[in-house]
Amino acid sequence: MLRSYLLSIPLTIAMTGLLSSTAVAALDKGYITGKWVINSQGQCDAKNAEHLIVHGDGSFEYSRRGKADAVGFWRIENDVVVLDMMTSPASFQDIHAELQEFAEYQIYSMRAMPVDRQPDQFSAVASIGDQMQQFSLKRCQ
Amino acid sequence: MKTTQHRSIVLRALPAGILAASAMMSAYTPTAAGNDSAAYAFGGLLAGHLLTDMRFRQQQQAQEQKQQTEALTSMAYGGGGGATRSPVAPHAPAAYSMTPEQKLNQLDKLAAGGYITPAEYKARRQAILDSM
Repeated sequence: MLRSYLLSIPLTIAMTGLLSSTAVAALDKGYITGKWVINSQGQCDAKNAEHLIVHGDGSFEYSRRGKADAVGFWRIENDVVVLDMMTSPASFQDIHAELQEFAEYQIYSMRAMPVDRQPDQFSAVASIGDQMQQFSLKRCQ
Repeated sequence: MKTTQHRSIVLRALPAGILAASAMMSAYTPTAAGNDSAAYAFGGLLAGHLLTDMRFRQQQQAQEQKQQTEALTSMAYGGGGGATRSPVAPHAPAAYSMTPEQKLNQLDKLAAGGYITPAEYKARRQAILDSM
């Protein structure tokens, strides 16, 4: 029991060291702007790909299958990307059928903490309300 | 020196901790998020929140309507009592001039919000239908 506990310490340190050694890219405007594909194994042109297009002027759009489902403004606050967006819940009725009743546009704010930042990809832990999700983003060339 | 080392370890462990927490949280869906949400990471997260938010708004709306109805009923039938008792407000009859369809809709919203019991719902619904 004690031996396994003692063994786990260097293992944890090694793992975290590995993780931190890959986190090299600074989180700034130059890094975050561009077109990113979310998950989809990094395939930018995948049929059902989700894209986050971050513009240098502070605006962004989130699209699925080439259609913008949310638009808004982004900013960086203490290494967290804040996405203030406008969207219609009805745009997501394919995910939750109940949402088809709500066509009015609403404002929402999502916070995403990029971790394991590399030049052209990173993971993000995002939260909105009481929901939380982790996903990976890869820069589209 | 030791404190610096500890701080360094803690700082290094932070991303791993976040990843581990997020891995656990990715399985946590407070709403009735379906399997489809897994197909879209960002969209699934957003849709899950939108669903929670819309349900909350619906409940809030139903509660406001219930309070409004109670206030109107109180004004119409004198719930206040004494000197503070208001006369029947000019717009109070509006609640009673609703069409049966409007009444049924309002009743549905009250039931959906859990403000009335199924028995009350059934009785009220029957009363509305009988009044037609």
